Amino acid sequence: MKIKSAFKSVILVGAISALSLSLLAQEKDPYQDVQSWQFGKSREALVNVEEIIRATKPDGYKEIEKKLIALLNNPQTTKDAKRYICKWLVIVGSDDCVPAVASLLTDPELSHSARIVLEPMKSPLAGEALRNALPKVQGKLLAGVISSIGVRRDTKAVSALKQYATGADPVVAETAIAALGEIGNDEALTVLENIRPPQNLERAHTRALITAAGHLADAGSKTRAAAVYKKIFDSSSTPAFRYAAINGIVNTLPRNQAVAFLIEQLQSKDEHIRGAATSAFRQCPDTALKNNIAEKLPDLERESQLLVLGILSDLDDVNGRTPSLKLLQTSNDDIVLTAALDCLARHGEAADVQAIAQIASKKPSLLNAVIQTLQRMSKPGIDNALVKLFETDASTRAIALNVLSNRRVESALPTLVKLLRGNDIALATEAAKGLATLGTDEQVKELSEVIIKTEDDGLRNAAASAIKSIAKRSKDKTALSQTIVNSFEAAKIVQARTTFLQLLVFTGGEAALKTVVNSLNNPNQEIKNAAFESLVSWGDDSAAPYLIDIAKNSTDEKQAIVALRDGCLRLAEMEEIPLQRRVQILQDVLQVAKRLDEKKRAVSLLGEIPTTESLKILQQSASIPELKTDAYKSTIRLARQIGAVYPDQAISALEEVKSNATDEGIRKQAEQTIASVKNAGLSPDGFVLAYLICGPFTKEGKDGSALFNEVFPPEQAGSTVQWKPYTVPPNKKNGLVEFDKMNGFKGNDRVAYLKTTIISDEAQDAQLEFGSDDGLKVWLNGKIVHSNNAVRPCVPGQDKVKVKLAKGENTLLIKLTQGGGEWAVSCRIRSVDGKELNGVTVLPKM
Amino acid sequence: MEKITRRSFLFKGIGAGIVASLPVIIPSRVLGAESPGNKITVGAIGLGGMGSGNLGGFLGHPRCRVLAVCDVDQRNLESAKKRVNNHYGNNDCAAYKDFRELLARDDIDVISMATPDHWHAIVSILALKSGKDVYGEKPFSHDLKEGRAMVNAVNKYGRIWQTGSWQRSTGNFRFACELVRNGRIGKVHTVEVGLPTGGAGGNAPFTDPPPELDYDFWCGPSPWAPYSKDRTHWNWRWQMDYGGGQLMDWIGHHGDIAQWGLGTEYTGPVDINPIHAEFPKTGIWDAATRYKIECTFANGVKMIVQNAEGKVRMGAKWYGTNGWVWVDRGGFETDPPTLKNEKIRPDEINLYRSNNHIGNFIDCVISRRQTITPAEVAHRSASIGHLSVIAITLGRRLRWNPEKEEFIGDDSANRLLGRAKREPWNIII
Repeated sequence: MKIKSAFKSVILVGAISALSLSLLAQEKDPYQDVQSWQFGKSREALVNVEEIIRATKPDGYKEIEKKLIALLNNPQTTKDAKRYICKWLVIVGSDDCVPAVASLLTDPELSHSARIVLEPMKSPLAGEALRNALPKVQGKLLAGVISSIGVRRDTKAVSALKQYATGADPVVAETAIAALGEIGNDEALTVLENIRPPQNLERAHTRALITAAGHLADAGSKTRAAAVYKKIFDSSSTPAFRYAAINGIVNTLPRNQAVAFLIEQLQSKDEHIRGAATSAFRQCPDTALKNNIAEKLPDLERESQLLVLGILSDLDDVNGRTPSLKLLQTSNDDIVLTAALDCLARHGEAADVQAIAQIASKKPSLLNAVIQTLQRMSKPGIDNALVKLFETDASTRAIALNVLSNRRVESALPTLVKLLRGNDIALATEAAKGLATLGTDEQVKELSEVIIKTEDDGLRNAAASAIKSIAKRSKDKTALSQTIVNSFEAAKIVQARTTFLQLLVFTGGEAALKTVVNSLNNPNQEIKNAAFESLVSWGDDSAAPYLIDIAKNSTDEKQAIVALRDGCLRLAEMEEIPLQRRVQILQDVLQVAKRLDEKKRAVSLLGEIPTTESLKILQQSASIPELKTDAYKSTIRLARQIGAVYPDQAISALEEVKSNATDEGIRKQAEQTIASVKNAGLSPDGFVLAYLICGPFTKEGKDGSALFNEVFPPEQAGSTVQWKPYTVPPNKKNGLVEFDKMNGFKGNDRVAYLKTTIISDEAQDAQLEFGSDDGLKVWLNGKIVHSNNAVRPCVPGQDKVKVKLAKGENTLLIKLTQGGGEWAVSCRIRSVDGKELNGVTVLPKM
Repeated sequence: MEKITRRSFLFKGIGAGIVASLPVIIPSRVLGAESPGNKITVGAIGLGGMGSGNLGGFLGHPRCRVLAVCDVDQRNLESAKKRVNNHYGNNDCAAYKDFRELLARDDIDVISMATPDHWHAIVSILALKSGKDVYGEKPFSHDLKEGRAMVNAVNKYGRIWQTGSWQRSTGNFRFACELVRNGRIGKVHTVEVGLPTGGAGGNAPFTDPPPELDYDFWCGPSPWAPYSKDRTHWNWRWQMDYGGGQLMDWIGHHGDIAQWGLGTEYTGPVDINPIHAEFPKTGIWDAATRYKIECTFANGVKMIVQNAEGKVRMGAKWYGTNGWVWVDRGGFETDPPTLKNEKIRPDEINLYRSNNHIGNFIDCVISRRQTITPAEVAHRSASIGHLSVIAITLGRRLRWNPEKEEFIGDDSANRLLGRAKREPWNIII
C-alpha cells in the first residue's frame, strides 16, 4: 500500500513539475518579451536575446531568424522592438529575412533600421530590395536608400540613380551624385560627366568625380581616371580638388609623365600646390618614381628642394643619399645645406662621415647642423668612421670628439686616453674634453697624471674639468677622493697641487677635507689660498667648524669675513644640510661675527629655518639693540611658517614682539600673525594651509613623469625624512603651495612631498579636492586614494576624491611631481556633495 | 622685396635650432616672425570635454589662429566663441551649429575634430575632402569600414592627419617602446593592454532635450533614440550607438602604444578570441563593462586586451624571453630594473620623437611630413578595438585578414564591420 501511494505521489509530483516547466517555458519566452518592448522599459528582454545570439553558433541562426522574422511581421510588435530586431538580424539574418525587412524601408521610423540589415548583406536580394524601394520613398528616406546603394557600390542602380542626381531635391541629388561616385564604374562616371550640377552641388559633383576616378584607377582603368583628374586639375578653382587631382594624376600617368608632372607641381609658385605635390610624392607607392624625383633634387628650385628633402628624410626605401651629397657639394645656401644634412642623418653612410664633418670647416655657420647629423647617423660603421676623424685636422677632430661623446661611443675611450698621453698638446686637450663626457672613474688617474706633468695651462684645465665632470657622476666619490689626494701628494708643481685642491671640493669626504685643512698651513701662499678657497666652497657642513675657527682666530680680517660670509652663511642656506646643523652654524656665526652685516644676515637666515631652536635664538638676538628689528622681522616670518605645528611657541614669541617692538608696523604684523597662527591649519572655505614639506627628490635621467612611481623615503615606513613646517602665505588664494617659488625646491624634474593631519570629530565621508601642477599621488592613513600622473597647470578642484575620514587623526600624504615651469598644489576638504565639512581641523604633526 | 608667404616662413632661420631627433621635423616655433597674415587658420568642431582642451592647445600655439568654432550644443558653442574672442581681444570668432558651413570656408586650413565617435567619420571625411588637414580625436572611427574610408580620404586628398593619441608625445612611452623594439627583453611573446573597467548606468528618465541642444543633429548618423541626460555629453561613450565603451575609448591610447612597441602599427592580428565579456542588463549604457580578448598576430605574438583588474594594470606591458616592460601614464617599470638606464644607440631603432602633440601636427602641416600618429596607424589601433567588440558581440573566435581587412569565413562578423548611417547622413559624400 505504501509503495502504491508513494508511486502515485511520484506521478503526481512529476505531472506538476512538467506543467510547471511548461508554464515556465511560456513565461520565459525571451522573444515574446521583446514584442512589447519600448524605450523606457527595462532592457532585460533585449539583453536576454543578445545573450542567446552570443551563445549560438552560426548553424543555429536559422531558428533565431525565424522567430525574429515572425516578430517583424507581427503588427503587435512595437516599433521600438523592431529597431532592435533589425540589429540582431544583421548577425543572424539571411535571404529569408529580406522581404520582412524590406517592407520597413518605407516606414520613416524604421527605414534606417531596415538599411542597417540590408546594406551589409552580400545577397543580391538585399540590393534588389533597396533598388525596388527607390520609387516608393521620398526626401530623407530616399536619400538614405540611395546612400546604402552607394555604399554597396551597386552597379545595377546606375541608371536609376541618374534621374535622382538631377532631381529637384538637393539632398537626394547630392546623395545620388555621391553614390554614383562611389559606384565608380565606367557607366557611373559617364553619368557624372554628363551632369551639369547646380552651383550648390558643384563641389559634391567634383568630389564624386574624384571618387569615381579613384575606383576606376584601382580597377585598372588608369587612362580614363587620369583624364578625369587632369580635367579637374586644369579647371577647378577649389584647392582641395586640385590637391586630389595631383595625387590622382601622379598615380595614373605612365611613370615618366608622372615624374614630369610632379616636378612641375613641386615647383609651382602656389605654395598650396607645392604642398599637395609634396604629399603626393610622399604617398606615392611607386618607389622608382620617387627615386626619379630624388635624382632631380639638385636641379629643383630652392623651396621645392626643402620640401622634398624633408620627405626624403623619412623614407628608407628611396635614395636620399646621392642627391643630398650632391647638394652638399653644389649648394651655397645654408638652409638647403641644413636640410640636406638632416636627410643624411637617415641616409648617410660611413663613407660620408668625413665629407659631412668637413662642411663645418667650409661653413662654420653649419657646425651645429653637422654635429647633429653625425650624432644621428645610424648605418653600419659610423662610429669607426668618426674615430678615424681624429687623424684629420683640428677642427674636424673637435667635431669628432663632440659627436663621439654624445653618441656615448665607449669604444672611443682607449683612443681618447691614447691621445691624452700623446705629445700633441692640442690633441691631448681635446681628448680631455671628450673624457669630460665619456670618462669614468678609471680615467681619473690618467687625467691626474696629465695635471701632474703638464706645464700647459690649457691642458691642465681641460683635464681638471674632465675630473670635475667625472666626479659629479661618480658612484664612488670616496675612492675618487683618495686618487686625487694621492695625486696631490705626488705633485711637485704648485699649479698642479692647487688644481687638485680645487678638485677635492667635488669629491668631498674626510680624506679630502683633511688634505684641504692641512694645506691651510702650507708655506706656499698659492697653495694656502687654494686650500682656503676650497674650504669656503665645501659642499657640506663638515667644513663649518674650520670656517668658524678661521673667522674667530684669523688675523687676516678679509679672510675672516670671507670664511663667515661665503663659507658659513652659504652653508647655512643649503637645504641639503639638516635643519639643526644649519641652526648651529648660524648660532656660531652670531657668536664669532665681528661685523653687524654678518650678524644681521644670520638673523635673517634663522627666520627661514623652521625650528623652535631658531625661534629661541631669534628671541635672544632681539635683546641686542642693533639686531632687534631684524630679529623681530625674522621672528614674524618664522612664526608664520611653524605656527601650525608649534602654535604655543610661535604665539609666545609673537607676543613678545608685539609687546616690545617700538615700530608700529612690526607690532601690527605680529598681531596679524598671531591671528593667523591661531587659525593656521584650514582656511574658512576649507583649503588646507598648514603642511610639513620635504624634498626635492630627483633621480638622474628621469623627468617629472618618470618620477611619479619612483619611491622616495617619505613613502617608506621607518625612513628618516627631514620634514619642515610650511604654511600657505596669507596673500595666496585657494591654499596654493608653490614649490617653484621656494628656495631649495626650484628646478625641473623632481618631486616634493607634503604631509598634514586632518583631525575629524567623527568618522565621516568627505571629499578631497585637489589641483596640481604636475602629477599628484595621495595617501590617506597609509592607503593610496588618488593617483594622477598629470602634466598640467594647477587649477584648484581639478581632481575630486571621495574618502572616509576616521574619527580622530587622519594622516594625509601628498606627492607632487614637477616637469618644468610652475610647480604647485592645492587641497580642499569638503563634504561629499562639495559643501563645507563640519568637525575637522588641520594640524600637521611631525 | 620678396613676398613673404605662409609656407615661405618655413625656410627662414632654419639654421637655428633643428630638433636633434629622428625623424626631424623642423619645428614651427623656429620658423620666422609672428605675423597675423601668416598664421595657420583653425576651425574647431566639437567643443565638449576633449574639444575644449584641444582648443586651448591651438589657441596657445604661436603659428595658429582660431577663426571658427562649431557645436550642436549652443552652450558649448557660445562658451568657446567667448573664449576665442577673449584670447584675441576681438569679436572675430565665427560660430556654427552646422559643421558643413564651417568646412565650406576656404580660408580655414586645419580642423580640430572632437565630436563624439559616431560623428568622427562624416565630419573628418568632409573636412579632408574640403582640403583641410585634421587633428582628430581618438578612437579614430566608430566602425572599421568608416575608418578605412577616412584613411582613403586622407590619402586621396593628400592631407595631414594627427590623432589625439598624445601619449606618444609624452612621458616614457617612446622609450618603453624603444626598449621593446630593440630587443632588450628578448623575443616578445605577449603584450597586455590594460584598459578601464566599464560601468552600468544610464537610468535617467527620458525627457525632452534641453533647448540649447539640437538633439536630432546630435544623434546624426546613429539610430534615433529618445533623449535622456545620460545619453549625451561624456556619457555617450558607454553606448554602442555613439561610442564603444571603455574599450574603444582607450584602445587609441594603450592599444596604440602596444602596437608601437610591437612594430605592428601598419597591420593587425589574424586571430581574435573573446575570453570573456560582461554587459550591463539595465540602463541605456550597453557597452561591455568587463572584457578580455586575446588577439594573435601572424608571428604568434599575443595581444591581450582587457579591463584592468587583479594583476593587470592600466597601460601596456610587453613580455619577452628576457624580461618585461610596463608603461602607463602613472608609471614605468621594467624587469630587469636596469633596463631603465639603457641608452638607445643611433644605429638601433629610434622611434619618432615629439614633445608636443599639437606642435608636431602644426610642424607637419607646414612640412607635409608624416605626423607621429598618422591616419593609418590610428586606424589600425582602432581596428583592434573594433575586432574585439565584434568578437565579444558574437561570442566566438574569429579569423582576420589584416591585408584585405575582412574576416575569413564569417559572414555575420563581416556585416558588423560597418553600419548604415541614419538618413540623410552618409560617408560617401
